[in-house]
Amino acid sequence: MFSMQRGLAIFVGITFTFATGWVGLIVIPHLQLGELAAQSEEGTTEVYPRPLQGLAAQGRAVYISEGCLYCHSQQVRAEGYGTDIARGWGDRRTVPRDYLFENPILLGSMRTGPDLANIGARQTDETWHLLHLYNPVITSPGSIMPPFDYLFETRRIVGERAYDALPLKDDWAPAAGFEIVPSDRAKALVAYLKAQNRTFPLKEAGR
Amino acid sequence: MNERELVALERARIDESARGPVLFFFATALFWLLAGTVLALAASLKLHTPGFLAGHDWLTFGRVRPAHVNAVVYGWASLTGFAVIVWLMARLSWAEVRYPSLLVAAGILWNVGVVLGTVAILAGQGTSVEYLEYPIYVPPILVAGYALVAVWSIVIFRDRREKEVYVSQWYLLGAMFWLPWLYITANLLLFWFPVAGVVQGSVLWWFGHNVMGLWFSPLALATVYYLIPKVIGRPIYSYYLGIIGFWSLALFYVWLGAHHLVGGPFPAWLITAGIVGSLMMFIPVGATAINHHMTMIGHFGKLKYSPTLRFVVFGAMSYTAVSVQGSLEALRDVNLVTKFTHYTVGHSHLGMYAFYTMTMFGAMYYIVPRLTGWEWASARLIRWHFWSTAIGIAIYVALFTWGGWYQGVMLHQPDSQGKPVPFMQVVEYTRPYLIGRSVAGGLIAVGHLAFTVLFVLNLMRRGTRRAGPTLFHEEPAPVASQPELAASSV
Amino acid sequence: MTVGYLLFLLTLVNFGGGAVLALAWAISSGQMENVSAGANSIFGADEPIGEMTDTVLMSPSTSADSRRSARERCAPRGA
Repeated sequence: MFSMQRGLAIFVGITFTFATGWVGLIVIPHLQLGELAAQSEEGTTEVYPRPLQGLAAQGRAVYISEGCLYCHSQQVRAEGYGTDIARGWGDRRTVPRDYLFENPILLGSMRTGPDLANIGARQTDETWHLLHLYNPVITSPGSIMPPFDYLFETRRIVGERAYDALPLKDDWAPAAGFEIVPSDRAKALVAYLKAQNRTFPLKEAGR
Repeated sequence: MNERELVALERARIDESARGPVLFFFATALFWLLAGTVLALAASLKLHTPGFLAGHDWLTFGRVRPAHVNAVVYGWASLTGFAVIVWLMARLSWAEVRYPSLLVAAGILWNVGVVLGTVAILAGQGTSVEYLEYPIYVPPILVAGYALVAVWSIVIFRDRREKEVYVSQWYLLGAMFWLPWLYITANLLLFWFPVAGVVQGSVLWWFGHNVMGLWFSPLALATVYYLIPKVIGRPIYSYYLGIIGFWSLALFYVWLGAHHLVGGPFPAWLITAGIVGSLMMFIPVGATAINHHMTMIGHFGKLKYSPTLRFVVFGAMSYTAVSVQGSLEALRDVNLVTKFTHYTVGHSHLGMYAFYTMTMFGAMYYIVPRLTGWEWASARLIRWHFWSTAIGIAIYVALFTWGGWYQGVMLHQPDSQGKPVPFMQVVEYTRPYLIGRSVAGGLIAVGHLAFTVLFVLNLMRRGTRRAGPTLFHEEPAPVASQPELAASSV
Repeated sequence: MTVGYLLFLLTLVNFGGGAVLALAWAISSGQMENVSAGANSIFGADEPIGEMTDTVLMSPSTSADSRRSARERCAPRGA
């Protein structure tokens, strides 16, 4: 029995100590932040944030499937705490409300590549995005981002060139008579990226 | 027979009862180590040479990297964890493992889960939730396998004949209790009944960091607390310090998760709690470090003789290093520089490789011959294994600690005109460090190959038969008497 | 917010206090006495204190050395 009591003491102690962190890190934030709602601008019908729709929502699945998160973050740190805002990665820090409808959230933990929280505000040119995905070195020499050429199709030109064929030049251009066209996945991913815009002014972010 | 021989026979009987499951866990763990190493090398090469094996979706960096992480965490690390749980629990409880085939079934279940998960990630079905990338149908398989291992190990504990509960057993019991709570909660709150928005971040890093500190660390610490005294033949310096170390770990570690959220969209009090908890960790880490060091004082010469001791002491020292580094990383001013950089990757490898993996190598060197009855076939291969992996991981961590720090500084310190340093310039700065990491990784891979050869040879009964319980006064270490090894130095 | 802080404090006191209490009880009920028994429990008649149990890399040196007894080579110098 001597050791049964010790076993019990160990069990009880472990439960209690573990429960402290569980309550602190999970239960309480859930109570606090779980009640957040979207905010609307006074005098307008604009609501922020909105859940992703259509092509952008599909693009999110592509972002997840290709593991973009492992090199890119999606959070802007406050002014004065880092140079995120000075770099133009956002005009304000991101706050919990910005991620309200995201499931799963894609905050990321590495910046091997730049932060993408506001890439949709920073880079609106669809062709730039497509070229960059096809091979990042085209738009960004020296980039170590992998090429996503498998998100594109090489097609024989039939009649006129496709409207969304990539304007590839020099060594990048395909063989004569062929064109490179984004697949649905590529288009969806670009739609998702262009939807990344967290510049809507929010009081709790200081604007 | 005298008492010594009787006890030795009983010890051998207990080891024998654990043989099937433990060897199965170790063998499959080693498979995942090799798979994880291949994936690691691929990922590392791709990062500085993005054209390497490019053009295939199943080999894109964004899939290879999580495949690597999960293969080494759920494959290698967890399976070696199960092995030491079973063997240590049997040894310390002085009780045999009953119905060992059930444990092998558990191992099969677990391996099936890891195979399915790895293939799924490479096929693009990963969740992009770090350390929980396996699609939703895999965790139930893992939980089932784990439950069998845990229940059976507690049965061994319940049947114990040794009335003293050794400190390693507390760590094992703690780990076995914490892991299901962590894993099931995280899965429920992130996938089955997802919590809203950023609370997911809190849940995720509560899980991710606690898996390190409340599952893997206790398993490795349990191993260190047993093997150092066992190998050198001297009891642990202060049992009291061991008690303090365990309870303070249990109390403070749970808060650490929040230190991943510094600067992010989270309430300030949560982040502060994470930082405070991180700093409080100096207490258990200090207690443990003092304990291990004072136990080893006067016996460092024995490192020459025992591969187990080398790997385990390397691991124990790395535990202290990674814990101190981690506590400092939680401070806001430090975190500002290191977050999002390669520094954190160096830190995680200091923990999961230099601490956990090296300790588990030490455990395998001790346990496997006692289960198979055969000595390791080649001291030269052992030395290759040790030095390749030790030097390899030291280079890796040094490169990423140094390079990652300056990567962070460059990202945040304005240039001479007061503007932020262009991002591409920072990327260019990191490139030589990334190449260096591939070199270090190659060295580590060599060590893994050496160990695999040793392991396979041992299972195939190549080498010399291990001196049994009635023969322990004969010549020790038959392997060292082989002529080609007599000339080897350290 | 204040509810959160209050809950947080209460929880810390409750659970942290519970852990401290459990520890205190364990000490008072004699679990912590004779701690050296715990530390020594991993040794046995076949693997006693004072003998190394892993000497895989013990290398033989000169022929004179190799005539030393096994036990002498296993035993540590000093404590």
